[in-house]
Amino acid sequence: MDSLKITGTSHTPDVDFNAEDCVLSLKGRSTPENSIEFYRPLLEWLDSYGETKPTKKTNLNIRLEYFNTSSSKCILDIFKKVNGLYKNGMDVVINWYYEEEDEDMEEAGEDYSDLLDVPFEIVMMEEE
Amino acid sequence: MGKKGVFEKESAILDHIQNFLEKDTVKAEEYKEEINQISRYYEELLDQAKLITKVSDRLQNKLNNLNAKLNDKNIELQNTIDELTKAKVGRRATTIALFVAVGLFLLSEGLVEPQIESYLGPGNFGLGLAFKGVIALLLKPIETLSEKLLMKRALKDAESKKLQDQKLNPATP
Repeated sequence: MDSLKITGTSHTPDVDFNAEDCVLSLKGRSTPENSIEFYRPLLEWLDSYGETKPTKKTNLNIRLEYFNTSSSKCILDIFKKVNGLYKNGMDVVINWYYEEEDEDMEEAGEDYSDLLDVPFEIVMMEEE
Repeated sequence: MGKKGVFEKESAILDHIQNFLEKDTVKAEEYKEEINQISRYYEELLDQAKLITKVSDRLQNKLNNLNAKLNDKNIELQNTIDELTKAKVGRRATTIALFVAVGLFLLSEGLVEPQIESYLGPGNFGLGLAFKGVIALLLKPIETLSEKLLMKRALKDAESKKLQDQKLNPATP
């Protein structure tokens, strides 16, 4: 299966969904004008990825600095899709990264994890 | 997906419910099953609404904090710029005062003292010395006056630059 790579901009995150390594990364800022247009390919890719039934553990790494309200809904849709894969027996973990002292982002991760069954790790990144 | 945006799935559910309500004959069990389904959808939607509201508030809070930090940095930067302008203006004012003093000193040596000597005769050092004393005492007021004038001009320049920037980029506050 092909990997999905989208280079980030000042309004959209960097996407690197690597099917071979089973590492899916979303990094940066997410404030696109049309969120669903940006996230639709990611959601479709996840559907196809689930169909390949990967045997390795899948890591979904989220390192977002900031995202707008419509992105928060799209991110939830991604998580729900991953949650569905987990419920279907896939080995998967969501890693939610936040910068040290960024309590708002840490708590946003906690809010998401409350709604999901999939293992959800909230990881603090030390400031460089 | 287009017009319904991020709520495409939810809109589809609403369409389904509305289609169901338009049916003429529906069995009681079908109603029960449909209401059960609507209840599940509603629960899911409520969870989503709660989450999105919470997350959105947190991110708004983050944005507010960043704005506050940015404002503090702006004030700090403005203070530094003011200090630098003051120092620059101070240096220029000192230079001006020094040049005026040198000019006055040369005027005193070349013009005033020979005049004093010609009127009062040679050996009258007192008046020449007094004149030089006045020049020395004038140094500070000249420096202060130059500083004030230069500062006024610097502020005026900064203001016109700001107006020019705003004309070029109206979105900048």
